[in-house]
Amino acid sequence: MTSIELRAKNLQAKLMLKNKLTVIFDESGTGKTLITRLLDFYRSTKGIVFSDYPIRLLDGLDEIENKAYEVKKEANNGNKVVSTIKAKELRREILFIDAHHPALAKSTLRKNVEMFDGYIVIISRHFSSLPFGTSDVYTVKSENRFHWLEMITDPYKDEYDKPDVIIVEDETWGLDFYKLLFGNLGVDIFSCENKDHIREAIKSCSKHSKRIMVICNSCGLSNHIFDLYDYFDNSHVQFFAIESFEWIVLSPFFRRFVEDYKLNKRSDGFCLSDLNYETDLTKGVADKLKLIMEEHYRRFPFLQSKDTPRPR
Amino acid sequence: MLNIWLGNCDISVYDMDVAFEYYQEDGWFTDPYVIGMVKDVDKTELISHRLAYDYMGDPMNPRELSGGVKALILLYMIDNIIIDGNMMGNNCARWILDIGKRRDCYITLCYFLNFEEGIKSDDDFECRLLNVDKVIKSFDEYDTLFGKLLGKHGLEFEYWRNPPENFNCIMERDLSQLYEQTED
Repeated sequence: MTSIELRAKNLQAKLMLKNKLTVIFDESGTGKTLITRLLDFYRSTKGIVFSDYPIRLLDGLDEIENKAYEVKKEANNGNKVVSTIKAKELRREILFIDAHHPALAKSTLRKNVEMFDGYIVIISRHFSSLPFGTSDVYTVKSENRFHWLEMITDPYKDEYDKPDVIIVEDETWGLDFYKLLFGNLGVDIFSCENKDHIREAIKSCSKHSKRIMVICNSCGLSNHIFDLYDYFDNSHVQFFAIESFEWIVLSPFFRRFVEDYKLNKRSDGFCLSDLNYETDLTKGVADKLKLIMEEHYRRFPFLQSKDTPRPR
Repeated sequence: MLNIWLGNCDISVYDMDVAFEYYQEDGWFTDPYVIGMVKDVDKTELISHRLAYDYMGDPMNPRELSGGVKALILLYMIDNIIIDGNMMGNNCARWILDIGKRRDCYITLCYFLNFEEGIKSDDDFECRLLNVDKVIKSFDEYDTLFGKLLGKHGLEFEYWRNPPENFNCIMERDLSQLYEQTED
């Protein structure tokens, strides 16, 4: 984490950069470009800009790429000392990239950003090729002459209300898992097939005025934050993101378990609360599934009704 | 009529500072419609081509206007131009719709610009969605089509390969790398 403070005559700003990549997404006229230009103009002028690292507005098209290439070249030549020095040089920068910069359209951007060890701030309303989450997206707030960054509405909650419809990003094992988990709660569960269809699925369900929950991977929303942003404040739509979910649904033991229950038609009225961890699963899978289940019961209090007892 | 292409286009104007500097004329800054737009979006009072007062009442050069309001002015003033709508925020939506009622204009969009903020009544929304070549008269239908196109083509939507031939563009850019990714 690092912070930048700007004390210009007509504008003051304090920006906290928590992660490597920060995206500033906001309406027009909020001061995004002005702050960036002033930071680039004053650079590290003492008394005006306070920053742990030098600040720069990305200028050349291939700057990040060239620098990343230099580091890689030196490392490939076995020159670890020089590559470490160059990596440290890169690490010492905070780079601002404005929305119209052609570098944002380059296919090598993601790879170069991953090699870049400093902080990158991108001003954009549409971005899909870089890994970022909702916690990396900020808007600019201001009061008189003072500006600061504020994270956008966090779509994720600590506890969720019971929905009428659940939209799952996954169409195979993840869908099976949630059908088993919410099996006897009278909730419609379907897959939107992939994250690109989330908006369409929400729109379709909204027509019937239903309470909707969207379940996706934590990175699944990142590329669609700007397309789903208007739903983050919608009281009828909840978003739930899970991490490290793939390992359990891709686990052969879980697959075998699900297939076994489906083949034996145990899925009729069966839900995961019927699961006996000791007898139905191997110990390793059982232990990790218990952790995931505990997390789900904590987040979804409506699971803890008398009709859905916790797994034995 | 407002014409929207959901996706990207090589000849859309994306650098508003450069384009505004290139195209601007002194008379723009005393046009009442432009003055109203700048006041609403940037909270700035336009006086002339050399002077404006910002939201705090401090003097500033109109060159420092936001990219969004420059895009709106270009959309309003220049013929045969495609504006990259990604440079405009939701607070520009009502002005985009209004300009579309006054003249033919073209924008590209890669994100969900919430036109709902600019709609006064149910029949206030009208645009031609060029991807499906259809005139849309309700925001709800636009929202639905947006979701379908988002799902069908992925994150970067569609590449407008055949924009109108007589449209001018003062800046070049190459989006081919971007579309190589989406075509895979």
